[in-house]
Amino acid sequence: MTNKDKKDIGIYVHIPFCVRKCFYCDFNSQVPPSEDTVFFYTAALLDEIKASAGLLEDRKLSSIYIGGGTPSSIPSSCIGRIIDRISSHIDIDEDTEVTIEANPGTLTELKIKDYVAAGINRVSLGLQSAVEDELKALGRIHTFEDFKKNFDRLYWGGIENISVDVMTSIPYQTQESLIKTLDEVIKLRPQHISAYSLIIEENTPFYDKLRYGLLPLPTEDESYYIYKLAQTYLTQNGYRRYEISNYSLEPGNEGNKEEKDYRCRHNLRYWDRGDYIGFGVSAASLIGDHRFTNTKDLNEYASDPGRIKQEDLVLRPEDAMAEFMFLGLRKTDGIRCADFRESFDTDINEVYGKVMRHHVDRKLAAFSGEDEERRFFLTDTGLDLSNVVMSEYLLY
Amino acid sequence: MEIKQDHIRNFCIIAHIDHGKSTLADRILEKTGLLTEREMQDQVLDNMDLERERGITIKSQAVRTVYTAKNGEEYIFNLIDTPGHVDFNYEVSRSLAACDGAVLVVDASQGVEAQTLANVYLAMDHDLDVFPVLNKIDLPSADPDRVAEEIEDVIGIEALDAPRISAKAGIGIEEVLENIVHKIPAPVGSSDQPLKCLIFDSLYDSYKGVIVFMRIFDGTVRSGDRIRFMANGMEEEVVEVGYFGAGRFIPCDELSSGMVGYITASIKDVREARVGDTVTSAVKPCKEALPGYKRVNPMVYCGVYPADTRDYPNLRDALEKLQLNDASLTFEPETSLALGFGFRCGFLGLLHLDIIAERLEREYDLDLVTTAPGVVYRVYKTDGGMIELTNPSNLPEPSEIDYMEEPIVSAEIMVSTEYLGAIIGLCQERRGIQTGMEYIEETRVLLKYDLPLNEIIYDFFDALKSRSRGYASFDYEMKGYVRSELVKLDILINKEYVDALSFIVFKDSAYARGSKMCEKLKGEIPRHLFEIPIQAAVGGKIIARETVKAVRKDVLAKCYGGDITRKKKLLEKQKEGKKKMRQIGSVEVPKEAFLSVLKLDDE
Repeated sequence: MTNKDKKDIGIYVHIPFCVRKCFYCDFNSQVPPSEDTVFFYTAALLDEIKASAGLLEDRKLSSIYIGGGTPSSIPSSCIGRIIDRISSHIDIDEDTEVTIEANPGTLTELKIKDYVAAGINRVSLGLQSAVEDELKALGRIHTFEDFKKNFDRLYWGGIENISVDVMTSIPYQTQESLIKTLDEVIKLRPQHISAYSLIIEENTPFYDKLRYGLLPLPTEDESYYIYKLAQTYLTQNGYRRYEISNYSLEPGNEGNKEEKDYRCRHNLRYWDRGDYIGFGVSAASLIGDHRFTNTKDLNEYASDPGRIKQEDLVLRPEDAMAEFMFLGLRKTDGIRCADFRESFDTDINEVYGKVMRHHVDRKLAAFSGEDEERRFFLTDTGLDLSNVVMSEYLLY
Repeated sequence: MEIKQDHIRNFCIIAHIDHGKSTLADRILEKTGLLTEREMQDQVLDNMDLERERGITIKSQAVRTVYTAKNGEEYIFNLIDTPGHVDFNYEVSRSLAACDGAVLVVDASQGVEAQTLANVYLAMDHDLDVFPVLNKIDLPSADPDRVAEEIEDVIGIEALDAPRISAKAGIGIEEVLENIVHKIPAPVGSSDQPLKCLIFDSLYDSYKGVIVFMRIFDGTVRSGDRIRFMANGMEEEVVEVGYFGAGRFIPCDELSSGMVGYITASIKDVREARVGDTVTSAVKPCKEALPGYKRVNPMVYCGVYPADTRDYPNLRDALEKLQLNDASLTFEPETSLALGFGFRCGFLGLLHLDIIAERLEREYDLDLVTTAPGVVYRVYKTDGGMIELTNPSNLPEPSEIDYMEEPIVSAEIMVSTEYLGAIIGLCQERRGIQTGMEYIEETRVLLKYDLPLNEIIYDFFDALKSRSRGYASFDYEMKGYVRSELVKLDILINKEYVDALSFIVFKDSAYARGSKMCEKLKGEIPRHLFEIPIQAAVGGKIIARETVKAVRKDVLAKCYGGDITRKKKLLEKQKEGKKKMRQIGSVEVPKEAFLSVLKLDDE
């Protein structure tokens, strides 16, 4: 089989450790882990990758994404061993996007050097805000200075694809303070920016504070303006919104003279329903029409990483179709109607014609292109209301 | 055992709520050997789960037990348990009429309360001999001497030698039993006279038909006798006679004067054997029926709708089943534009409504939407006619209305002087007219008010409790109708009139009620993709308005590590939520919105 015929796959590796839990986070992470725990967990990951070798056979690796938690909080040697183990089962070539999520408070020059040596070519930095009071209120462990220092280290260390996370609708945020954060970020010309709205999840300190009225969140109106401002400001400054919360540096702009596509390939895989395999505790996989999820229990996982992929969910055609829509429509260019036919052997209009027309009538969505290139996508308003709109594509 | 009439004691226990009525009843049954301790389940007489949970008696119950007194003689005790809520005042009065005496239980720390008084007066009206019992003497705060004095002062019955007991701890029960023998008179009446029995309750049994609970005043009844129900003239043949064991019916040969028991007679409907009716012999009837019979009419009406419209037939079946055992529950089909098909149901009061609604949800697994309860208004029309209005939507055009009347009650409120101001304020807010004020003690006052029924059916009791920190007690009885300035308040959601939210309100309260309703609804109606005005109107004129702003942003955050299932669950929840909504025009209104307007006063 030549490389070209091989089906693409992506790999997600979950590192469930943090130095400290942020106040808004309900994610399954250990804070802070003991050295032993990290060691055993890494060993378990290596075992799981080995045991899953069959799933990687005859595949072409398009991306690796090491996420968390805070992957940069564990020794870089562990990261190196994980990537090594993957490469012993599947080729990592220069085309492969290899991302690690990093907290600006946990990076060092040495770590960055190790990452580059291990083959990492993209780093996603969790900044969230450039305003110290806002960072403190979120429970972040880093300062804005930490971020700037490490951004430079990454750049000079050879990472040419850097993504920065910022958050909107966070405590104390105003339109002015958001502009300050964005200005600081844009100055650095990162290749990619993610701008997420804070969502208050249950079982977090924020949830409790909110219930007692102690969380100084922007008002609902202000929050909406902040959210829209982020979109406008980033777009005006050379970033293209390609997904609800994700922006990539447009070709032709300073920092991207070579006309490269800096959209995150790994995340696109999620929206396009490409195959991916998740390693680690609570990691999710999609292979064909099977969705697997690993156990959420760290001890259970570490004791038997070979018995992986619990919760094997076989998607019924109607589930897969709904996913195709509600994931694909997260992208600003939406879905290609012909892809629907290729995937499900059914014309999209037979299944969704009525609801699509309904959304077009209400200016929540629109069509573009003709015939094979006909696409259906959500308008800005449709994206703002994506929860409402997308729920109408569920088929039961 | 042969039963001698002078060895029968027919009595009830009366008390303010939570003063220990049911506990004492259980102790009496236990001490007289009717129940072994193993058989004891707390509060045997309160049969329904609901009764146990709420700690109140809803239906009358009766039980026979045998007590061997200190003088060596055996006595038959018929304990008739009476409902403990003002909603069931008529039933209480009939149960009392079936007794010859009453045990008055008073909490030795709390003393005389509004219900204590109301119940004592009711018992005295029925010429019952009442003797007091001071309960809960084991509580540290108990002050039996003070309470005994209070009983003598306020009620005017001898209390200094009252048994001092703890029903809970089983202290002093013997003394109560002896008192029942010596202080409660034996029944009078004669077996030689024509049959004369009082119905004090009835129960539907799917095998036996209606089981009629009776006190026999004169004569004797056996199976095979032909009997007549004097109110409706219906005649039946008695199938079975018997008395009440612990939780079961025990057939016997005959019931004669002075006894309490039951008959069955292939009666299909509890409404044919109404509480308070007199049963006599069809062959040799008595001359006059017992006094006091009346047909009770529902006082409070509301619309009851299934949350899921497909449950309509199930709701009808359930209501029919409940009605088998509840002659005072009425219902008839009605249709609402907003809520679809449902029933306009009539209840004796708000507690009755609550109980029925809860039983429908619990025992019949129905999810209900109930509209705001209203009282029965009298609408006098310009053409000289009068209608009794139970559904606000049926109010005639203003031009056809001459004037309207609303029901009022006379209420007694017992409150400590500390909260007197707050309670008087509350009564004034509710349009009360003071008719009396008596100092029971230096620190306690009995307030008498005439209050419109519609001002107390919603939340008066809650407001009373919260403004007096629980130190006020309350009782009332119907007084009659008075002329009043009333208007119909309508609610419009997105300019659409919502029939299920209309109600009748005192003219001067319309603005305040309307504003509050709009405010409440604003909190309950989810944001839509467009702006939704919520308006309150009287006679087409908008008097209050709120706006549910359009939703502008509703976005999922990132998908952590490709975990799609979590995001999908969120979308499913969103879609599920929508299905449970009622469609009013283009607005989806959740069930909670209809219910929220029932609780307008958050004090």
